[in-house]
Amino acid sequence: MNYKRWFIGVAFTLIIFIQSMLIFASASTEQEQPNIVMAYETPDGFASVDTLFLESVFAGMTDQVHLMHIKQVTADTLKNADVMVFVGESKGKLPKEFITAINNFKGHLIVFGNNAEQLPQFEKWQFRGKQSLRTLDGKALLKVSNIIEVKPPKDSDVIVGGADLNTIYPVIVKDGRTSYIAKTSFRSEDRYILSRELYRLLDIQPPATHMAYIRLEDISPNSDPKLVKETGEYLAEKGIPFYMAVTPVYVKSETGEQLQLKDNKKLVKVLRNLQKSGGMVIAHGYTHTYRYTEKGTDFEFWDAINDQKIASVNPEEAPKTVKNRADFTTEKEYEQHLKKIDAIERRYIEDKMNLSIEKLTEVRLYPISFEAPQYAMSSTGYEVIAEQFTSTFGQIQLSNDTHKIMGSPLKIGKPALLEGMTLYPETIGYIDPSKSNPLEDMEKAIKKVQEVPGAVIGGFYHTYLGVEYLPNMVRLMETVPNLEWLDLRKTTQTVQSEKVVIQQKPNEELQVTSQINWTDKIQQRLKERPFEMVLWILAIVVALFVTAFFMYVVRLRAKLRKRLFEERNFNG
Amino acid sequence: MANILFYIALFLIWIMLLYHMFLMQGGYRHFMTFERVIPEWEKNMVNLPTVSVFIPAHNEEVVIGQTLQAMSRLHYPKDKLEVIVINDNSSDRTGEIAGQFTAKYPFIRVIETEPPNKGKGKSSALNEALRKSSSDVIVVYDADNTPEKMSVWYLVMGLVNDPKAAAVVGKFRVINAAKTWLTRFINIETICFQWMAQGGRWKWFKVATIPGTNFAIRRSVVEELGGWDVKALAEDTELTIRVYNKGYHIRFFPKAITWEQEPETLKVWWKQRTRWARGNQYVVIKFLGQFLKLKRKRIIFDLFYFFFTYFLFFFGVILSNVLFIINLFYNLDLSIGNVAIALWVLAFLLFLAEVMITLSIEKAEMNRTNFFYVIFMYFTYSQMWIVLVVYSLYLEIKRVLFKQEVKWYKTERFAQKDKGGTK
Repeated sequence: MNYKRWFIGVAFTLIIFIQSMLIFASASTEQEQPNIVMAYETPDGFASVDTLFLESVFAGMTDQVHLMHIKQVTADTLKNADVMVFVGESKGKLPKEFITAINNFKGHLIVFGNNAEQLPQFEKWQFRGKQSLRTLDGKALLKVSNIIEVKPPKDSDVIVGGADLNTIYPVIVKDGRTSYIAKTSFRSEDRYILSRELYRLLDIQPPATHMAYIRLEDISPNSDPKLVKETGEYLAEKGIPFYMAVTPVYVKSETGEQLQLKDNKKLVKVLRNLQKSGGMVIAHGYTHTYRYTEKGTDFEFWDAINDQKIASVNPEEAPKTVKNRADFTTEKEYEQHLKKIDAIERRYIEDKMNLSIEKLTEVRLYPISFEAPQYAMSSTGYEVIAEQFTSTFGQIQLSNDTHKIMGSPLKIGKPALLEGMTLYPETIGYIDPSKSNPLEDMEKAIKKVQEVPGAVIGGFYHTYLGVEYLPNMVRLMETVPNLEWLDLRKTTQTVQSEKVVIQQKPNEELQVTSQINWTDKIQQRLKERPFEMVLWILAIVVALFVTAFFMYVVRLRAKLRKRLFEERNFNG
Repeated sequence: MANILFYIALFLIWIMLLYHMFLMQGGYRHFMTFERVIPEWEKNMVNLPTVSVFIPAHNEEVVIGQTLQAMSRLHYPKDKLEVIVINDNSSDRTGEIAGQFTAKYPFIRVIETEPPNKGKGKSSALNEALRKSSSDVIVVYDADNTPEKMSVWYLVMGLVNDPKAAAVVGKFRVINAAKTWLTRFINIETICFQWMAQGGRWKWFKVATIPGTNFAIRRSVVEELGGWDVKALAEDTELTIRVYNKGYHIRFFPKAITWEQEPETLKVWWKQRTRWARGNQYVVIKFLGQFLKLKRKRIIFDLFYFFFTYFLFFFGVILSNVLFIINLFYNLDLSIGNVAIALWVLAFLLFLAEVMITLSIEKAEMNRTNFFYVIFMYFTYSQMWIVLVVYSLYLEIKRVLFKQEVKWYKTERFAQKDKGGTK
């Protein structure tokens, strides 16, 4: 009796303890998701490429980043903010209302670049004009980097410094809850430094683990099933969850002929088996090309020849240049023009991705994420994709004017540009067998990435290489301490097209609802291969006639007996 | 490129197969319906026209006896019937045997061809008889034919009841069908031809071809056309086109039946068919050139049919065979999927079904032996056709290129001496 009571007592306290632990744990994670307001100052009101990139870096810290123009910042917007980030890209007078709001702000303040001197928190700082750095954080820079020379207050903490030939200048400085960063552009190598130091600036405990993933890249109906199989199976056997970026149609550039995934039955079988054993499908576009005369691994959602957004569904009608503001007399006309192009681009991308999702679903491969071919896509494109997917892999195109400005933040997050989608960044590149040491670049990248707490070790591998380099790639990645393989089956993902909804809930079976019926399939097939459909119709017609003819034969034979009988009567 | 060629081949082949499928449907329907009019038509068989039966004979001693035996039994008022054996330059006992019949039956007579018609071939012989007779209707039989008793009666019935018909064509059966594997094939082939090409075309387009034997034609029409074309190798096809061009049609009335011999050896078959093929190629080239001048466009179907048979279809078959063989050694990367296999199987089934229908129409022909022959035929006899067309096309091209003299009728005629048939 006593014993029983004791046991219940222990069990009870244990439960309470565990519960409180859980509450504590969830409270502490909430603490690590600070609410950030990020303000920028540009004449046209649009965030610049650098600002967008900075936003994506902050997005790796928290899901709560609110990007806005400084004109939108009021005391009210800052009421719930834990962190205020201001990006001053050019010198200019800040609005009074903004300064007042900042004045009353008690959270962390981080200022990049210009105009910090106008803020009350920087009263004791001295700003002295521009300097050019040749090294940053002790490492030589490939390109000279411009900063604003600052003399911080005495008790402040210079976290990162940089030097020109002789002098060392502070670059990242923390003074209590106020931090200053002497430049705004962190899109190149310096992104590692910024990403690393943000924890310190925000007084957040850096995470110990690194998420990692391997993406088997550019799988298409033209892929060799054998090679896909051996690469996928290698990872599956090692128990590594992995990703397969699949394009359901391959376009032969010589003929423009389209190969369909469903026609490569062996490959479909391989992919389905891999899907069962830890492989997850990423919808990697629909055809991987915009122009069917381009290579089958080209840009699909960006007009690469004219380096502009998709401005015509038919590539042959694509205008040489998308007109810009100067080509129009009034703002209204320009906006109308933009709207028109936007609508075309939207329709094009939406249609293609609908097809991609549905084609994959048709062969029972269920995409749970997206990856843009060549990572290229305008912000309009991301808007469209965000309606269909909840996450994307790769890098983000920061500019609507060229695909050459790419940003690769290092942490999983939801950058504003992606309209709510989660980005699983690619950070370590791929194996390039044309190099004397195909693994060299990846090794270097991993070294840099692992310096950044919580950064993703994400790379891709082309299946046409066969399994050859894959074990070394895995070994290389596994040298990173506290590596954890990213498994989207443990997350929430939704992919939807017009007719298909694919849902992944943490640790549950994939839920697929498809409203594709056979008439859709036939219509689709008719579009892809009109001639073959005609032949099938022909085959059906002929089959009907053949059936009818055999029935005639039966009928004639029945009649024959009667006829012979009649003739016998006649003769007899 | 290979894909385009493949699709072209497929297209050409299937146009032909679909057309035959369509014809088969017509042929079957014709069989089911053609006898319905007979009771009505019988009533009009009063005031019958006079009939001359022409039998061109060149060295036909082997067969002429049994032919005339059959003629003697024809059901037709004897005062309105005459049977004329046209003894064309025979060096054997043809005339003598025929003479025995003329003595016995007053409505049978023998005429000898005279220059310039002497020894010139079937057309000339027929023209000779045309000159030396005066009946309203002319019926033509080859010398190896044994018509059934009622055949002339039915041929005339067609003409009496169909004023727009210049000619009425009956059907023929093969007398030596069971003799060799070749005659079995020919038997199956001719039955199919009659029900599909003759019956089907008649049902759909009111078009039939004069086959060279077992047909009745109005004298007025023959005279209007100026007799038979002595230059034509396939005088029947040629005549058919001219008849249609005049605005008449040719009725297929399978109630009139004759029996005829078919080549029993491959050599004879080869020579006979080469002549047909070349003759038809000649006709296609002759009339396709003046295509637009033809008054009656209905016959264009027929010209196209021949054009397809001898040129396009054959080209498609060759092309697809070549692609098939190349594909065995070198991957052409043909994009077509399962549908090609489905179509191939269907083509075979279609062939089987069509042949089985026509065989079932002919009372006792649809038996087990013939069933296996049909399957066997698809892979052998039908393929021989390809070689034959290539060969005859080669001969025709050679003739045109080297401007060779067209003496073919006579040569062919000799080649068939031992068989005793002209078709």
